[in-house]
Amino acid sequence: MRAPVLPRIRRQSLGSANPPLWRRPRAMMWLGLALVLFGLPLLSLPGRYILDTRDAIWFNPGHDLSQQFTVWRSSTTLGVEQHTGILVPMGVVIGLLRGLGLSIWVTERLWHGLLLFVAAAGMVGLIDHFQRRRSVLGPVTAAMLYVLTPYTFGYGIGATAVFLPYILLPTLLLVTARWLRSHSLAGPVLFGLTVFLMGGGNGAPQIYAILTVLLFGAWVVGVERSVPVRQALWFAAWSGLFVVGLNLYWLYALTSSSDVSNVLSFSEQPKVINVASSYSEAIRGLGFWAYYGGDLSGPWAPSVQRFITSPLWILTTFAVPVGAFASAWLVRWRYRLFFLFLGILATVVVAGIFPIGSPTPIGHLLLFAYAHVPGAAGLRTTYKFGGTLNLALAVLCGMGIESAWLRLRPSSTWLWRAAVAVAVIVIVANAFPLWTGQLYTPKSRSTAGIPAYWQQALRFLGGRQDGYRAFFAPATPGSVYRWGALHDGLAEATPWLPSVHPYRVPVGERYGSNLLAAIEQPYQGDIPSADAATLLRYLGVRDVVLMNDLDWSHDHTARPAELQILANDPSLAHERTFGQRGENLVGPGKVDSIAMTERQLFPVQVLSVPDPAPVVHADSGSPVLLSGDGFGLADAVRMGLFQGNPPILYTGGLTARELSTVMADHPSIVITDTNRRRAWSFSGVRNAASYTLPKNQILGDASSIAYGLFGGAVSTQTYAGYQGVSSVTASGYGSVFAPSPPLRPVNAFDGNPSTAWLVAPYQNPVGNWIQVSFNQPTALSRLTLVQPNFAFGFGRRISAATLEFSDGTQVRVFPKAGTTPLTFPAHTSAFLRVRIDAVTQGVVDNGVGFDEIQIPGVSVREALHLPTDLFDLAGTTRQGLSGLANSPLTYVFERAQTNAPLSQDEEQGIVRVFEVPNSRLFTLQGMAHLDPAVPDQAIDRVLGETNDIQATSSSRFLDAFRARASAAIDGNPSTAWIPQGTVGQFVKFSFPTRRLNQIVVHTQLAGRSPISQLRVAFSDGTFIDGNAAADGILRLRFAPRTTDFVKLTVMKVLKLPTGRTLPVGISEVSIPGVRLPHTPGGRKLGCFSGLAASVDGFPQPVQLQGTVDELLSGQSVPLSTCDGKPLSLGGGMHELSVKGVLQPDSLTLASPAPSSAPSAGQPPATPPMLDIHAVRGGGYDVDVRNATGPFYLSIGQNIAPAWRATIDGRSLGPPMLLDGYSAGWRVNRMGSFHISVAYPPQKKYDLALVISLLTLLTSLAVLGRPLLRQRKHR
Amino acid sequence: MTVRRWPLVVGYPILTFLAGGKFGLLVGLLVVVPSWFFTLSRKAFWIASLACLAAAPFALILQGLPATPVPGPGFGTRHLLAHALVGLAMALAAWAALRDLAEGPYDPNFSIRQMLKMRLFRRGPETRALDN
Repeated sequence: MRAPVLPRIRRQSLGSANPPLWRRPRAMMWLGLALVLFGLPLLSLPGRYILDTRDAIWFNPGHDLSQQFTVWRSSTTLGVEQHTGILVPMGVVIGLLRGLGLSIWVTERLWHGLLLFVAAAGMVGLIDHFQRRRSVLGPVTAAMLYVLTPYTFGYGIGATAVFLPYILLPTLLLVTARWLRSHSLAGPVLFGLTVFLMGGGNGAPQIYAILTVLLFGAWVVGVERSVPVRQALWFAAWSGLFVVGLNLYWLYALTSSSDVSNVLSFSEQPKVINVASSYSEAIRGLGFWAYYGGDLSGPWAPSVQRFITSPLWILTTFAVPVGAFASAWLVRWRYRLFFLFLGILATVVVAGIFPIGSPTPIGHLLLFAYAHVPGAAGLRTTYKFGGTLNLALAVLCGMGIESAWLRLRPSSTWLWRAAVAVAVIVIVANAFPLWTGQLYTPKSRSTAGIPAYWQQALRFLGGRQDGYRAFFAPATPGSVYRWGALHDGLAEATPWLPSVHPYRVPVGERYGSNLLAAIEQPYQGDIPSADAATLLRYLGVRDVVLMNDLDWSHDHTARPAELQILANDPSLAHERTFGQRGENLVGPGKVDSIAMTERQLFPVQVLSVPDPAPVVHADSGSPVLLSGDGFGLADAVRMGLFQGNPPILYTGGLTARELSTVMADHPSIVITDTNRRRAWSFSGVRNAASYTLPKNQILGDASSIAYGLFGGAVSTQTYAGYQGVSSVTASGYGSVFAPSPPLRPVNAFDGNPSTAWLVAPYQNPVGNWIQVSFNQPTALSRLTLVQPNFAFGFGRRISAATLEFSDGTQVRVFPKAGTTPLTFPAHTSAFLRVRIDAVTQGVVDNGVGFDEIQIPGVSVREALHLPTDLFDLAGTTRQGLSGLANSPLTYVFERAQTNAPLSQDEEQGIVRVFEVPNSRLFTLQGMAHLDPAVPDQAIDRVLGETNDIQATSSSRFLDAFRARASAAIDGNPSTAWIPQGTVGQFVKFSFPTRRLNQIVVHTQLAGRSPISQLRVAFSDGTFIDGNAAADGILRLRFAPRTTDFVKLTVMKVLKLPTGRTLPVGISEVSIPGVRLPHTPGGRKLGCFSGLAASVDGFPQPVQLQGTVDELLSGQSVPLSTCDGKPLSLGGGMHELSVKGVLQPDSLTLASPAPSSAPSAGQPPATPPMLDIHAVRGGGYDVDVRNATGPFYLSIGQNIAPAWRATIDGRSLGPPMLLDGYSAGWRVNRMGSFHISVAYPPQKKYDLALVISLLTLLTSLAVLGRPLLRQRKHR
Repeated sequence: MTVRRWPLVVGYPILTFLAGGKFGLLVGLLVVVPSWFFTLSRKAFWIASLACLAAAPFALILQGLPATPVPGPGFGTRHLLAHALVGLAMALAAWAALRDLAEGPYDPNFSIRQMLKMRLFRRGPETRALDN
């Protein structure tokens, strides 16, 4: 194509040589821009710091900047390679401003003002360049439209490290347009410096910015052909060189850090990013997912909410693309079509995979690229291409309004005035957050400062952590405190304090994150905490900081009352409290009973770990080989297995050679049912994992399965086995907002009607399905569907479904409420799939599904299979096999519980399949309580109240064990049967056949709804209705009859004057000759068999070590074999099952080392003395004194393959995974010596820093040379 | 003037298909096929594009705005008409622009006044020259 003619417009004189300021439009323009863009941010929430990028850079800029030169960062994640990349310009500018003594909020406003001004200035320069003249109207219009957008208000201003590429995009394009044709090196240098000033806070927006100028280059070379290819390549090559050289310091960290893959896997995912990015939203600068969401505090981005909900602002936001398109059509200037195409392309890219349910072909291509093209997933945040879109539209509008001004003004007064008026209205309207003081909203995401009590606490902690760490609890997805919000949290804002604060998303190799999540279980999962100090010693923790002033409801984390589980842990000591009792403890609004008790707490509690172990420490004594993960480690510690803090090695992390070496140290072996094959969503800090999956099933991101530990090897994982069928799968389960393991698919086939598969609450369930695949083709001609009953029958339920078979045939069915037996023509099928076709309308949008799908002849039993990695590994060496046979061996089983309101536990019992290496005797111990769903008669059997009389009932109030049926026939009027509900509830007493002619029933009155009428039914089919007297007693005399049961059904209940309905109760039923003995509460529990436990399918008698009172109050009591008799298990696979009447919390099977095992040569129990000096880059110089035998050196930093240790220059080899997270080495040298621990990537990082610095100096020299020449010439 | 440039006629429906799926392909074909046989002015496509874009906010408003402060993630899928209108606007503008690029000379000497007069207010030989 022929090169187009450039529009030549003469430079206009805008005034005389030295007119006053107000008569110089350009000067007034700059002054106005500066006033607006620097001044207005100062008027929004004055005095308050708004979350921006990283707290530390604002609160402790000196420390934070110094850490930017170190690639390994120890706090607050147990150590990770940093890739923050905010040293230049953000760190430098803020450091300078804070160094001048400016307050945080003033510094922040000046920084934000500077950013907005630089963006505006870049756009002014760009329009000037395209016009080839300097003017006011066009540049100001373009600048304002570019700077004052939803992108700025809703996203950029709170994440300025990511915002910088947006700010500098116009400048980058200006540099390219201005210097692309030039042979001067100044152009590439300026290009490199501009990208350098974008910083490395993210990566994706930088790439999008460079892509924009590449497209521009392609246009002028390929379409316009105004620049020779050779010249363009010259410019691109030199620019690329300077870009890489200047930015190498953060590019290196970004590409080398293993943590980047964690961020890509677990932060924003495409289906979230593009959930609302339709073309209509994208083209008006919206579409970013966070604009459409909210939480308890309201919308996440309230400053842009009006653009979405108000018709006026919808019109003004659409006015920009309309103006841009009109300009592209009507205004003839050189790059109009380029910017039009750029705007269209950017809109399509920002839309990404929208609509996420059925993406466009480009959407599919993007998804394919994210999954298969290395690095492409880093560009999945397509909303960041919004900068290019805004640029294209702003340039077109700016050029358009300038043309309108120039061309229409001389002749058509009304037309140009109208055009300018529209432009002003649109700019002012779209900028409303700036001039209405709503730039920083909501206020709840800001703070006036850190309270004095926290400053005292941080100073106190800082003086105590020499060589130790402070542990901040609980983990928080955000950091919203009662006194204000921070971006990361107090631990993160205080880089000078060595600390650890569990983080929602895993970091590094993920072992440390896994262990931290396990350590948080007591207060996040509501399980008892015992011996937390032992766990915390492994982390080098000296102090535990309870952040009671967190807004826990906002962050969906543990509340202060739950944190007291740690405060009540006997292994931790109370150190100090800070603040006033009740200060910042309870939020406004309704106060519940728990909050009343929380008002007695202090906002900050510091607990201390007695005899803490330093971060870098030596462990000696026999190590523990643990099969499982951090949850197994925490379980074992809670069970008291790791007294004395022995070194711990995960079997999944060992090589055969390492195992052989460790076996020489006479380890103990612990095999746990952890490292469960779960899909982790990391969307929150609690209940973030799926149910335990079968070994061949994957949900969600494959790298999230079991945290991806040990390379994701199935042999290291505990997985679910479905005995009786091949598989059970479903289209989904529970809610899409959070995993719901208690609603997993297998529940529909487990024969237990109290568990269910449910799907799609708050969504349309139609189209969802559940499938069971059989071990072999099975003939099906009938089945029974059982549906749950929600909202007393007023909830949603399935009204139509399709049964699908492997031969492709289908049967349409219409399930009723409750149980629906179905018969249909016989099908021999490899599977049965039930697809939901229709649901009823309900008063609530509950999930729908099945309590049971009963298929004759098909029974499904779920059992968890323990890891086999140790057996696999030990089998490869002689030492491994012998060590396995001769080491003490303990199995640890923990029932999976769920800490969510109104939710069942994931597991109702413990059913485990595990391998035993050789014939051994095991001691069975554990803790168990009664299963709340257990029937009344089973409770009586556990208590030993079994004779020929049986008491059953329809229900118990709140499943309370004391409210069971036998309480009404035990001769004790102070106990009663109390059902869940009133009319229709029944109690039934069965006994040997006898002849009756009277019954007396004592109903309860106090605190109950009075029963006015009861139906008494007998086994001969007769019944009598009787009315209770005013004293609540029903005396029935009737013609004698022979019966073997009496069933009392509540028929009528009197209304209370208050209108409330209370439970009913029957305290005593007198049936002549029928009575159960009253069981004293203090009676010791005995041994029983056949109800709860079995080994390899055979009933196992067990004994509960507690009293009747303890058991009936729901407490967990110790469980063991009767009289402590050991279990004998031969080598091979075994199955232990404890479920039914008893619900175990945890179980252990322990076997000591065989008596024939060699015991000589064990490593010494006393570790050597260490003198530790931290060195720059994350390493340590360790002076070892008086080592008397082999020991394990743990550096207390997350394991990374790059860690190295040397003694006198000799390498100790690659690091071992020690203590569940740390890099460490087994050292077998005796005496006193020096160990040098280093993190070698620091050297490469140093080199990258030097190259960046040298390139910067070279760039400045290139730019300064003409000036020097000029000066010399003068 | 009819449009019988193969790269344009083949490439354009492919692009609209990529960006809009089956709907996009339909739009692409509905634009390209008539242009092969009939003389369709570029102005018509520009005007249609602007009309679609200008109609989008009204479609968005008519399909209902959120009553709660939090619009919800379904906002995009609840306003597919506006989405389609903007997609159509982009497709039509792209076609007109591609034709400008392929056929029309860049003429910087046309003033906006002339353009407005020629394109919006008056039809004449010069208008046809630009449009075709």
